Amino acid sequence: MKKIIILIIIIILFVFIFLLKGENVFFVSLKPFQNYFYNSKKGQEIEDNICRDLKIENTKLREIEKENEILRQQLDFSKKNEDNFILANIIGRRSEGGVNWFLIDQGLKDGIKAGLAAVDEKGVLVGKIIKVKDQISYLRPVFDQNFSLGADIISQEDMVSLKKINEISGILQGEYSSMLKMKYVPLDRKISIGDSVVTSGLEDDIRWGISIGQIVEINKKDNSIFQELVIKPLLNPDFRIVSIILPTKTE
Amino acid sequence: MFRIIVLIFFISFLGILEISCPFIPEGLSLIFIFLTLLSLKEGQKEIIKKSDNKVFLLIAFILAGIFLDIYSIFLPGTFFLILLIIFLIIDRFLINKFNFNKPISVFIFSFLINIVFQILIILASLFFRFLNIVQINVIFDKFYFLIVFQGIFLNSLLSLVVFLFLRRFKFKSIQK
Repeated sequence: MKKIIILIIIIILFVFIFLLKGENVFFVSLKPFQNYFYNSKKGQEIEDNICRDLKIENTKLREIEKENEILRQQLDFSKKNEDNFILANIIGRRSEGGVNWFLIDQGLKDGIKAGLAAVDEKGVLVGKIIKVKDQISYLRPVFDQNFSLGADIISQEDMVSLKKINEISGILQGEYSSMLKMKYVPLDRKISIGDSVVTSGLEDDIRWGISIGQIVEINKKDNSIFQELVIKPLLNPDFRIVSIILPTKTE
Repeated sequence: MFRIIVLIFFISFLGILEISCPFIPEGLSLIFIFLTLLSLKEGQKEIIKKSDNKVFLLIAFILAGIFLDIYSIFLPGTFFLILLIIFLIIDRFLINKFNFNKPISVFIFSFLINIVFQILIILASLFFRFLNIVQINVIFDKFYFLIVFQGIFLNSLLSLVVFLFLRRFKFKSIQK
């Protein structure tokens, strides 16, 4: 008899929490505590902060350069992408079975959906939204091994010269370490250490040109048609507030 | 009933501490340590033959599973099922085979159920990957096993430390 009662209670609990969205009770009531705990750690000073800022600035200048080039080519002078974004606080982090995810305090009701990109205060990609609930969302960080995204390389030469930028694309993948890997980059493409990596815009809801990082290592194998790159992400490792970039509306 | 309400609040508190406190190392599961300690307590009762009530322990496992599911990217019910399986394993196979008066037994018990917990999570990940329900691509390299082992070791060690501390504290309070 006791077992049947427990079973009925479990079923009712499940229906209430997961089907009737009773989980919102937890999200709403625990959010202030989560905010308090997560922000209790003081921001640490990053040694290469200035260097990182300069690199980001550099990447942004290259983005602008490319944008100008495309605009000149198409003689379409008045269009400029302006990101619409939603600010969100990180309220938690979980790691289970080697899978990492962050919790952010904005959800479906705020207009967030799965697949959107999240950037830090400098506009550097920190991750991708993978699951959304009414009150909160789940963010997969770039350094999770399950993270993958189409990415483009902007060479240093392209920035200096005004010639048309040669797009080099590949697939970016997270690793357990603090570095990222870029795979499926054709072997015949000339790439240098220090080149910038940005989003390719191949995903539906992620635009081209969001800064990701810089190439620090190039690995070429004899019998492969691709080269593999090691990318150092430029994101602030201690990010607490992120901007969720909404899809660009072209008029 | 009062015990269950306290249990809900305590699991929620441990949960938000585990998820949101930046000082908690990666891989450390406070909720699972709490469940381990409850199981150890139950195990001690078994030895001295005073307890016949495992319902509270079962409820604790169920509530913890539901809480972990709420904040998980996996499908609802994953952690609930995982913890239910662990409860059954503890109840049927482990609880009578250990002498919880010895610290080494406590550590081995914690270590074993942590390994089972991690294996079940890995199996669930692989299952979701196979069904393509959740975008998970687990690569079993040295970094992966290092992180998983770190979690198992930390959880087992902390379970042992807290258990010994509680036992000592309880012993002193009885002496007074």
